[in-house]
Amino acid sequence: MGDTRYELVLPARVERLAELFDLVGVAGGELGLPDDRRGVIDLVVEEAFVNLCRHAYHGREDGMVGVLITGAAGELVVELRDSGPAFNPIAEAPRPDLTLGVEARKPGGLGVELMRRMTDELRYQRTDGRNVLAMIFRW
Amino acid sequence: MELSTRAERGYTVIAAEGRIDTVTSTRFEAYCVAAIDAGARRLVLDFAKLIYISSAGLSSVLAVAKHAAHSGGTFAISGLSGMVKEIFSISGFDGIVLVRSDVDEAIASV
Repeated sequence: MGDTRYELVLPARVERLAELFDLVGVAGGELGLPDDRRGVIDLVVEEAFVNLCRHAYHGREDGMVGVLITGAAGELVVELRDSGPAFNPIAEAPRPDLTLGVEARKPGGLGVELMRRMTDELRYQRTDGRNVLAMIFRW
Repeated sequence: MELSTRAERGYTVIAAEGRIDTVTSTRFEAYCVAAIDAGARRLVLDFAKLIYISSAGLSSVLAVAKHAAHSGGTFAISGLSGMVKEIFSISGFDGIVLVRSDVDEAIASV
């Protein structure tokens, strides 16, 4: 099997989410990603992308996201890049209390917590004025 | 995502099929809230054909559960499977909303 590599640049807008799902699906299919991992990988990618759309550019509407998907047998790496101010979502997001009941639950924080729990590895780097978040999945 | 409503033994059963993500969760939440506002007091969300949910979807489920409670209604979810079941479990949602294996069981317990 040859190495998989896909690149995409798209506006940082949540309504573009389906395009990201499509590309992850194509790459996953090529790599023989097990069906029962698909949903979880989509979830992590969605949480990261939506977070970036909402916060990276502080309300500016012309921000872009660079997507790089690479993989080899048994591994898929999805990298998102933005040129907003430096922000490490993994380190800086609050950790929600997952034991609270209905009334006490607050929105927010859950997405990043799911990202932490559902990836095999999460890496953040600030490189050349860009935030680079790599989400790594192995099977 | 496909949404449909049916009446079953005095309960309003809303079935969601497909995917509840950031984009579709708004429609899901508005649909359920409208049903409650139209008078549904005993509500079951049938997720048997739901294959995907993200944190935005969970937030919508939470909003619907709160709205049902504030309207004096009861609320249960049925038919979780695959990644949806896994995400409910990891997020602790299966402990804060009533989750049953199928619609019959949900109706029997709300």
